[in-house]
Amino acid sequence: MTPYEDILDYRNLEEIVIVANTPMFLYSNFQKNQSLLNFSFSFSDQQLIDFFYSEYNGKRTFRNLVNLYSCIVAISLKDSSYVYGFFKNLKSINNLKWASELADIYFSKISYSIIPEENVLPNLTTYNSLGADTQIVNFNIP
Amino acid sequence: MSIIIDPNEPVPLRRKDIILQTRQGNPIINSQVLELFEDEDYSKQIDKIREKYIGIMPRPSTISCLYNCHGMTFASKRTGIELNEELIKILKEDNYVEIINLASILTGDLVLYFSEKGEIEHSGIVIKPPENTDFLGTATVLSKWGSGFEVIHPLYACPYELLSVKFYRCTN
Repeated sequence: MTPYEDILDYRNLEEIVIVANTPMFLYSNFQKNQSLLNFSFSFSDQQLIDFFYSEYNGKRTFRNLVNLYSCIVAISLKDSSYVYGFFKNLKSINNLKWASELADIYFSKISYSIIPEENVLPNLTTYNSLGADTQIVNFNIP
Repeated sequence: MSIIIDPNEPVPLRRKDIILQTRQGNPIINSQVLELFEDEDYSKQIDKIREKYIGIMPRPSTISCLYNCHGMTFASKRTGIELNEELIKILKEDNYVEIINLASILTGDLVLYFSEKGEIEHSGIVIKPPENTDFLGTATVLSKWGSGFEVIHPLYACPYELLSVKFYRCTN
């Protein structure tokens, strides 16, 4: 018995996994599920990542697949550089359907503040505003 | 073609794409997934889905991960199409136009279900047009529900976003 089996609403989550035509549908609908939110808020990012790898190394059943997706979406709701690293690794997992696509969805949503510093090389450009003595700074994160 | 993954031997997911193009000859990103779970939890959930949606008629022997709804609608069940950009490309390059006059909907037209963010969440084929345009729910649709079955269902009896449903026709 895992510590989250009582938290997750499998009736709803399992249906979402079956009827999902796209990874975005799965992600959006998991995110709207209250039990998934409770799951995410009940554990730390590190605990959720541990749960993921425990499930990943476990017996691959339909319930296991639902747990894996639950962990991924729950982790994506956390905000830390550990989570960023987790999704970087998730991109290279090749025996879980939509692992890479869910990582892409995460990367499209995150704020740049949680990307580890060494990866961020902002481009700064300045120019003068027309009609004012103001210098405008453009701040672009590649 | 169903494959039960052996978790004790992590193997690459059996997934591949096929050559698929728009009418204009541009490639369409697609993906066949050769994976199917046949355990008790999966079977129970399939039964729950059958019971939950009133008036649906699942087509037998159609449970498959090989293609999704968009693969059924746009690629003759050969593969799955998962990216919204690819669907937009197909609509444009295959000359699909939205049917504005709902009284003119015919069997064979397409129905697209849009998410609240405007992405195409689900698609199907009209097999019976609505009896009147005041209530489109009388239309009947054939669509594929994810990795589940193909279903003949009333327009609004499905697990997808119903706020924005539009009809399209391929023109020559």
